[in-house]
Amino acid sequence: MLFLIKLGEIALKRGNRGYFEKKLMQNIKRRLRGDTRRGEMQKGRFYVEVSEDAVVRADAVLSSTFGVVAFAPTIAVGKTYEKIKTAALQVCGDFLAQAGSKTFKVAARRSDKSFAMDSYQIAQKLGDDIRYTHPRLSVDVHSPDLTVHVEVRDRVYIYGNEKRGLGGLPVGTAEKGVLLLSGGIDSPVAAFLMARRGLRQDAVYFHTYPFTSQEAEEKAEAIAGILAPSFNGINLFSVPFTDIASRIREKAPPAEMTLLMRACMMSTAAKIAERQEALCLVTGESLSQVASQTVQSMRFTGGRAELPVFRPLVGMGKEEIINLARRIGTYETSILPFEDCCTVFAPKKPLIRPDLERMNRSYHRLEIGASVDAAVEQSKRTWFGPST
Amino acid sequence: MSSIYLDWAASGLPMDEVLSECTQVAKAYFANPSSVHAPGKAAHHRLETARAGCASIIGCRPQELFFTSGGSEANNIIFASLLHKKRKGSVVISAVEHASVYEPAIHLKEFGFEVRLVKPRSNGVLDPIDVKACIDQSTQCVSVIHVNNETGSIQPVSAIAKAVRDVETSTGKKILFHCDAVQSFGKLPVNVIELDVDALSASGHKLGGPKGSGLLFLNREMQVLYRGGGQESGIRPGTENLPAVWGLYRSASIWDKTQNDVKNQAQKLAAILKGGIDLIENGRLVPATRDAELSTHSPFIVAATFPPIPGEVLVRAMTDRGFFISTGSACSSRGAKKNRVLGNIGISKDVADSAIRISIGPTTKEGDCRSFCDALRREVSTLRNAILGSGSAISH
Repeated sequence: MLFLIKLGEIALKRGNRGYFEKKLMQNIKRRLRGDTRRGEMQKGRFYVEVSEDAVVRADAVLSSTFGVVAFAPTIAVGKTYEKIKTAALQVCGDFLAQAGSKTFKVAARRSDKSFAMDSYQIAQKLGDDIRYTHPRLSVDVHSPDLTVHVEVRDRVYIYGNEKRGLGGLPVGTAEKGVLLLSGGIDSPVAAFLMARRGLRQDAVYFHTYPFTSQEAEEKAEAIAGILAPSFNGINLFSVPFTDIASRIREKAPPAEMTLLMRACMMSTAAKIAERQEALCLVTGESLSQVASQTVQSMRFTGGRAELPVFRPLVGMGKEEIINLARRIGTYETSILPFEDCCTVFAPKKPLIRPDLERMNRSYHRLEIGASVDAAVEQSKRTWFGPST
Repeated sequence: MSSIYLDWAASGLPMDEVLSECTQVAKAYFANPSSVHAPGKAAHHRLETARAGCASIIGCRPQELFFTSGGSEANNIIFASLLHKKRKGSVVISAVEHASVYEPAIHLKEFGFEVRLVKPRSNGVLDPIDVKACIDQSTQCVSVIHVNNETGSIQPVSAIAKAVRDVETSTGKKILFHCDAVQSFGKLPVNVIELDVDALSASGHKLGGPKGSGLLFLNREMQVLYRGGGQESGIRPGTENLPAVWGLYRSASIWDKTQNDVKNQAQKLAAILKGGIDLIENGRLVPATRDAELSTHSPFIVAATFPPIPGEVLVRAMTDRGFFISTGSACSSRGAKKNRVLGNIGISKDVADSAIRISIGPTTKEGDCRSFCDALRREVSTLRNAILGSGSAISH
């Protein structure tokens, strides 16, 4: 089965378009493993041929691969009207088998001007032939249930309704980042938005066992597993954080606890980023959602990273984030009732507008460097592969 | 690392002889007890032997005892039956009932019932006067838990029964008095005549019998929601789980025969646990007054709190040391909700969140309890320091 893949934003790239296209083809082939028979690129279009028994998997892969704007199973035929007609009737027949009586239109496009019929003539003649063969289909050019696409290029490609892909840019075209994954609703959404811009990501989860449960860690693992296919796989680093939390509790006033924990998480994630040759951190912070996400708080915590910190949710409200989490498929896992890292140590009255100088002094007073190094050393890496 | 099981209130350790008999019954009496052929009759005979045995233990007639899939189902049958009542009226339950009584009762509100909750005193025990004050001529059913599954508090069931009967006499209307005896069956004397109850629920696995086994005593006809099959006189239709029923009967028999000895041993062990908890900084029994009132609490369940350590954190830490305990009720300990039972005996949320439950059985040894207390003291100290620091927090 041949799939037509539409590229959207990649097609607008100029000098380095080939780089993006190549990466997308690699990502698709990698996820389809040995099921790809043939793959080729043509002017803003990809064509991937898979074996018949891999059609369902290909459908799942293409709907969850960044860079794919839309795709459709496609029939490629030689440049004669009879062949076009046979293929178009097959597309209509397949559609009717599932949909019953419906409306349709023909959208024809002729890139190869040497073909005898122009777009209008193809659409008109094919429309008549379809109506004649499938009387249950009637024409509606404004909002048809089925659009029969005919594209005359090197060959003629005929396909029905397109399915939408995730859009964006292929993962891996924008270097690598490290995600601070809490297990809550926000961080997976942040990761998704960054992956859609082509950022490859590894994730860091901080556990404070026994203050947090094994189930909470398993929740983070489950989320990594959900994201992994679209992300070309994820390394999840599970970092033991109990000693660091205890040290902060010991050495700092309760009101600073959360901020200092966040700052230490940033430092730890930055160290893991260095190891993984990642160039940025990603968090699910949203402005003023909680005390540690005010401008002042983020200025302090972000300052511990020495890397750019991307916060794609910073201007989004909770409702928007939840809607996205539902779309991505992480919401149901995120709301499982297992506490995240900070709950147990959360102060009753956290600082909302911390003073930067004072917080920096508190941080240095922790003398936490060795503990952070130890946490990185003791972290456990789990690889979640890209297979669907 | 050795492991010590102290979560008998969640489920008891299976007894080898019971398991062996269950297997034997499953093999030898495989036929459907409703079948009229010889193997079916043999299975039916076994079923009735188990029924008569269980009936004898709780002091009822065999025809008043019905096997269920457990205590929760037995409790639910009672409340679901009320849906058939034309006159909706009121239902009276204690505020510290197990969820399998509390939630079906609260559900009745949607069908027009008034649900009245009676709060116990601070020692976790109901005052029959308080219960009586809630009962009137509209009352269809009163239900009280015998031994609370989270605190071990023993409710004065027969005194409450007297209050129920007094109201029945004065109003001339019958009231169904039900008792959830899941945590007392086999462990303390449970006799339906002495308790003067109309219905009583019990479970097999709390005694080390099979999961999926329970019983309901019922001394009157009742309309139930189940239809079809007709087994258990229609109270709980469906082919009887004979191996589980047999396991319930056998484990209950063993507990019944050794009840005094096991209870006396449990009292010694509970005293060790209480003594150990008293020595731990900020350790507090739940209810705090239980120490002075041995007769009001089952020795098989000891609850305590160690604020500010969350109960589940302590449970995890103790698990790592090989001691298996629970937070509050095992049935709800995976939820993140406020603890209703402890809240209703006046314990603040902060303190209730730190509650753990230690529950013992006949195989628990004195040494188990002592080593548990030692480990608990160490873990509480470590966790307190981790949460609170050692008091050297710097102020600016």
